[in-house]
Amino acid sequence: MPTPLVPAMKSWFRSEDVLAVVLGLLVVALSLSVLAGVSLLGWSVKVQEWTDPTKAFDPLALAKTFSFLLAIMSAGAVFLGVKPAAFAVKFMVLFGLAFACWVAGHNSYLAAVPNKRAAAGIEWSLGLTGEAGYLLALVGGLLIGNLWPRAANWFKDAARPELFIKTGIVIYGAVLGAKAAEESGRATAILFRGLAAIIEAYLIYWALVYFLARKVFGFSREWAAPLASGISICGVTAAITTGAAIRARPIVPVMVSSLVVVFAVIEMLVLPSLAHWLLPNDPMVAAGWMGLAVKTDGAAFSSGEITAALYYPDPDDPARKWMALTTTTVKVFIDVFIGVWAVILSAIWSWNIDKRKGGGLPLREIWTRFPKFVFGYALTFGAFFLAGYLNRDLIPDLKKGTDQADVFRRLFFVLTFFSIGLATNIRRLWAEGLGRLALVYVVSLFGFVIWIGLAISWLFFHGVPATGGN
Amino acid sequence: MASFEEETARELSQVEAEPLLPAEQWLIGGSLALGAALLGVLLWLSRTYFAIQN
Repeated sequence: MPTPLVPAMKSWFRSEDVLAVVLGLLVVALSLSVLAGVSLLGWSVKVQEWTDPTKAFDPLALAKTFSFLLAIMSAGAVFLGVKPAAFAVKFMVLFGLAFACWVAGHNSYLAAVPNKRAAAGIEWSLGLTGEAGYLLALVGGLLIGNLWPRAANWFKDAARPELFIKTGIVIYGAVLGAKAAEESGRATAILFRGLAAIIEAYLIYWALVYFLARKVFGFSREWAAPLASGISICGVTAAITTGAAIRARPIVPVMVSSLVVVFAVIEMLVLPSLAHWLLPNDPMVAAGWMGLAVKTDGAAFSSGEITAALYYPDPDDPARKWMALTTTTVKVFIDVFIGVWAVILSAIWSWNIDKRKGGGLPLREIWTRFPKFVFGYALTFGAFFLAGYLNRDLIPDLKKGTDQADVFRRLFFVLTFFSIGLATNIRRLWAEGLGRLALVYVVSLFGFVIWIGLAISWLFFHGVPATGGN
Repeated sequence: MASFEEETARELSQVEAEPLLPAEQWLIGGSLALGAALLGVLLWLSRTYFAIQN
C-alpha cells in the first residue's frame, strides 16, 4: 500500500537535514546584521590559548552563547518531535563536556605553535593548535561511550553528530563563499576539480568494493551494494540510500552503518597526520584526500579541519579556508552524487536484477534518504559568493559577518566530535560473527580505497596553491 | 532479546553466495571502463579550462 503523501512529506520535512538548514540559515542571517551596522552575534564566545584558565574565555559571552544555542536547539528538538525539557537537560551536559574539552585543547602547552611560546611564557608545547580541542572532544566522547555506555545512551536524544555537522556546514558555506568571492578563478577551479575527483572516485571505488564483496567474500547482492556504498562513498548516508534504492531490508544498511562509524573514527585519528607526513608540500591534495577517503559527513569535514590546522597552525591563515573549501566541495559533491548513484542502482535493480510486478523506481524513498542539507550549503555558499563577486566592496563586511558565524560553526564541530565519540562502540570490531563484515571493510578501505583516493586527489589537486592571493 | 551484535552475526551467517549476474558484471565493468575513460577527459578539462597558477 503506498505511503500517504502528507505523512511522507512530513517525515522528510521534519528531519535533521531540514533542521540543519534552518539553524544554519538562522545563524548566517543574524551574522548579516553587520551589513546594517549592527552586530547581532558579536557576543559569541571565543576561546583563546591559555596558561591561566580564567583567561581562556569570557564567562558572560559563554552564558550568552550557550543560552542562544540552547534556545535554538530546544526549538529544533520540538521540530523533530523530541521532548524539549529532556532534550535541554541532556544538551546542557553535552555542551558542557564538549566545551570543556574544547577549552582544554586550547591550553598553551598543547596548542601553542613554536612562535607563540614566548608570548604565552612557556618553553615547550606540543604545537597542536586549538584544534587539539576537537581531538580531546572525540577522545572524551569515546571514553564515555565505551567505558560508560549507559551514560552514552542517556545522551542519545541530544547527541546528534549528523545534525551538528550539517548545521556547521551550512554556516561554513557562507564563510567559504565570502572567501571564494575574493578569487573567483581559483574557487571555480576547485569546484570543477572537486566534481571531477568524485566522479572518478565513485566509478572506481564502488565497482571494486562491490566486486570484492561479491566474488571474494561471498556476500549477497542485498549486502554487497550497501557495503560498497558505505565503504567506498560516504558511509552511513550512502549505505542507507543504497539500501532504499535496491529495496534491501532496513536492517542491512543499519548493520553496515554501525561499522562505518567505527572506521570513520579510526580514519579521523590517522589520516590527517598521515596526509601531513606523506604530502608536506601538497596541502590541497591532502584536503581533497580527506573528502575522498574519510567516510561520513561529520568525520570527513572534521578531518579536513584537523588537516588544515596541521598545515597552517594560525587559525586566521587564509590558506586554511582554501583547504576547507576543497574538502567541503569534494564531500558535498559526494553527497549530491549519492542521489544520482542511487537512481542508477535502483534502475538496474528494478529492470534487471530484482524485477518486481508494477515496481517502478523507489524515487520517493531515495529522496527521503537524500542528504538535503547540501541545498543549504549550496544556498549559503552561492549567495555569499555571488554577493561578493558582483560587488567586491561588500566582501570585507561579508567576511566580518561570517567571522562571527564561524564561532558557531566551530562550536557545532566540537559538538560533532564529542557526539561521534559517544556513538562509537569500538568493541563492535571484534564482536563475534562480525568478522567477515569487518574484514571486507578493512581490506577495501585500507587496501585500496584510501590509496585510490590519494591518487585521484593528487591528479586533480597537485600543484594547486593553498597560499597566495588574498 | 538478541543484542544488535547477535542479530548481525545471525544475519551474516545466513548470507548465501549468489552468482554474479550479467547485469552486475556490466555494472562493474562499465563503471570501471567509464572511470578510466573519463579520467583523461576530466584531467584535460581541469588543466585546460580550470588551471590555477601559483
